[in-house]
Amino acid sequence: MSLPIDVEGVSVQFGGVRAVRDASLHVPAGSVTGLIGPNGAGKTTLFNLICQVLPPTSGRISIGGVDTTGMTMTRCAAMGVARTFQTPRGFSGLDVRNNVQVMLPDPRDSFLGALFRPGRGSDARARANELLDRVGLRDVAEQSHDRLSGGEQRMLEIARQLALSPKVLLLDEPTAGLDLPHQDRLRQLILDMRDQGLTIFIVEHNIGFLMRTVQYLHVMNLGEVIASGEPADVTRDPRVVSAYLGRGADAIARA
Amino acid sequence: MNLMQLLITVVTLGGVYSLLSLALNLQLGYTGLINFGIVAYFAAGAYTYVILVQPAPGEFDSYVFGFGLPVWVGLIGAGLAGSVFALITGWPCLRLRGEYLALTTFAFAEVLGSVITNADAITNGTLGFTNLPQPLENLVAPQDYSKLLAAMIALIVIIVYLVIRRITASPYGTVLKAVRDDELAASLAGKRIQRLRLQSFVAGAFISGIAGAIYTWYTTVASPGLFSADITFTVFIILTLGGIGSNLGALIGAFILIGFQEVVRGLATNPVVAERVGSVVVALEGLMFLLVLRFFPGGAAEALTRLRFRLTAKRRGRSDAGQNPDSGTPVLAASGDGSVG
Amino acid sequence: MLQYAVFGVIDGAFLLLATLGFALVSRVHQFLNIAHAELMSISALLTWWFSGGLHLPIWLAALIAIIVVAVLGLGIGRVVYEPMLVRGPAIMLIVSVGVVYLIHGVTEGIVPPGIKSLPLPDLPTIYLGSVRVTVYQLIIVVIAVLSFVGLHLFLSRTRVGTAVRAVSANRELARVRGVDVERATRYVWLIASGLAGLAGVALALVSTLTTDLAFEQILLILSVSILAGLGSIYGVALSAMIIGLTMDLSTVLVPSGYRTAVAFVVIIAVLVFRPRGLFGRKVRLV
Repeated sequence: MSLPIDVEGVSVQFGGVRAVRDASLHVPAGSVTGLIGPNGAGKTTLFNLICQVLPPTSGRISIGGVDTTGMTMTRCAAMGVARTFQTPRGFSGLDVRNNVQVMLPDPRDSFLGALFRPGRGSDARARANELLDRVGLRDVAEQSHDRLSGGEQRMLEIARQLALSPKVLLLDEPTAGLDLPHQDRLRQLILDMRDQGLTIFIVEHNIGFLMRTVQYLHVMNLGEVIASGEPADVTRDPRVVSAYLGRGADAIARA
Repeated sequence: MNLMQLLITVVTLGGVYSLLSLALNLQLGYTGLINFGIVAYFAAGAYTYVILVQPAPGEFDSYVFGFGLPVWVGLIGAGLAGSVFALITGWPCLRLRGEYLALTTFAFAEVLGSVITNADAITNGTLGFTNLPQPLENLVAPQDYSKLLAAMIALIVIIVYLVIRRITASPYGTVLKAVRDDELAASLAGKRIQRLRLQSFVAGAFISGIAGAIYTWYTTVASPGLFSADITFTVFIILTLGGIGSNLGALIGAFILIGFQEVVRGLATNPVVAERVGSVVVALEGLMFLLVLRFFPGGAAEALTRLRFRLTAKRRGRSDAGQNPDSGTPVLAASGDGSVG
Repeated sequence: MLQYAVFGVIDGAFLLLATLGFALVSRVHQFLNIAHAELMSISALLTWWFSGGLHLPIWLAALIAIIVVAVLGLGIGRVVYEPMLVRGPAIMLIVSVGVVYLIHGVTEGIVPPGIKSLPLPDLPTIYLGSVRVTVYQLIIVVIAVLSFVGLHLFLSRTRVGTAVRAVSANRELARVRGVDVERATRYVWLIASGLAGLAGVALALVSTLTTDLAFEQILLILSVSILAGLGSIYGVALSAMIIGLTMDLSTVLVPSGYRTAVAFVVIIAVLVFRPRGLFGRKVRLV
């Protein structure tokens, strides 16, 4: 059900800047893996590469053993890769439930279907409710998307991605703007998703959160992957500590 | 100024415009397509209807076609004409971003305008067709016909409104809105974006074509001078006033604007003023348009919804007036950041 | 034939003048200001009124008209357009339609109907070989060239010009870097509207004025701008020439009533096949 991610020697260049240089890492299937690094390390760019937002200038990316390098975003998504963004995105004109429901396939979402079979209630709606329950947004199901808080929009984004029944889920800084109780909730959700057989790859600045959540950790700095392994080992790695020196070194030290 | 006369004109002409407005709402309000070529689909429908319905040309007529078919055939033909033109013009440019789509549809509309003016054999050129028959005109006395016409048009508007409501209230309508709000996310969810946009565009054009046919019932004339870009922009103003994204708003806007035009024209009894009244109306419409765009983007529909909530909230003693699920006008909201990460 | 080519150059020069201000606004504020041509119309009509009605010397009439239009453009820019910029370029296009209605309605309401033309002194026609030009046509070419050079100098040599370039590249970044964004945008409105005013005067020099001239002009301006690529200011020079020449040389083949048709063909062809035009940046499709 879940798929592993393999990044091999990937580089990408914008103008004169090499945002990612010769990066390699492996995300085991069904694991919860994290990616940390100081600002500008290239973490989000790496996510963009994995989702085929842009193609790498060199290197190879494969998902579940299938070479996805250079694939279109839509094909990559069709393979089961879902992703959230640093600034949560949603359908601003729809209410919470519809935001999720529209991601589900529905025989009535064609033009002729609308004319001749518009009836209410189908399992799309029930399934949307289920997903809202999982992320704890059921009681605001009728609210308009724009009225949600930032943290709620984030959880909604996760629900929308889950609606696609993905095999790989990339989360881009999911805890930003979440208070501690919500962070605990998010962690619980992540572990649930893993138990249900998803591969989860998380980019985060909140190292404390990751330490309690992930099984493996990668560290990037200046476009390169400088360390990979179990969280406890990686955070004691001198290269990692020096990368963070002066930039929240105590976060690493405390972790 | 006769109140009954005013009412009849508002229902008749307002009815025609409300069909156009419903069509634009489907395209713009629900799918986010800026169609600056509305008048072309309108004109295509009008001319096709006339050609299908009028009798064969006599020896003094310069045009070539007239088939004498029944009215309902003409109406369907009008709708199809609008759809076909929409397929031709929409297909190459639907992938274009908002304002580029607007310019292309506008350009295509002007090209059709040129064709209509110059293809004498088909459209009778700048003279156009006059003395067109009106449906069921033999049923009542001539002085009462305008009431019958108004009733017929009102009926058609109601039917079209109900059909559109059914479509937009279904999951299909929700998908259209999703495509409008975040095309990338919708396509990643497996929705066929181009197909959906084309469907919406063509469906709107079908309705615009029918509106064109009905328009000739009212004017009894079909000539290029009637179909100017002004009509397109009037529909935009109407929909904005009524509330982009709201089908009911489309109707309300049409009646408000046509009503406003007729009232102002009726008040201008002084001949000097009457000459200028057209410009005054244009200026005021522009002003209203700008004010609504800036300060009341939800238009009349949103104002009504707010009012209704406030009234019912008072009754229930709650204070959460202003809650607006499935808000109708994200088209006018701050444009989102479309970048990826 | 050569005569038509010369007409083409003259028309091209005029189109350059008319489109420069439009292109400046489209580059800096990222939207298409359809009302640009209405400003031209106002300037032309004011020049006519000041010189014909109030009997001011033409140069003075023109100067006042340009200043009035520049200030008017600044006002509209600040009051109407700037608060709406967040809504995105598509909405801005729709807003500018509203401005056109408002201006057009007022102008048409105030101006008496009928043909108007400037009381210009009869200047001799010049013959260059077999080609005929009037002094006024030459004046237009000179004004166009001077405006183009002037704008270039402004953007590249002055402090405000550099600020304008920074703002058009990235508004937020410019603000963060300490650029006076407010001042830069004020200059942009003034200069763009002033150019519109200048174009209006130029128009008044060579043709009779009707209240509908704005509509025809804006179509041509749009086609020049789209051909150059929205956001490109320098490319406008080339595309204006191309369109000017095409319009006039095509009258050899096609009846002259089809002049505006050239504009539409260009708009459609470019947007369907190469939306970024000749020099524009790659257009993000939605």
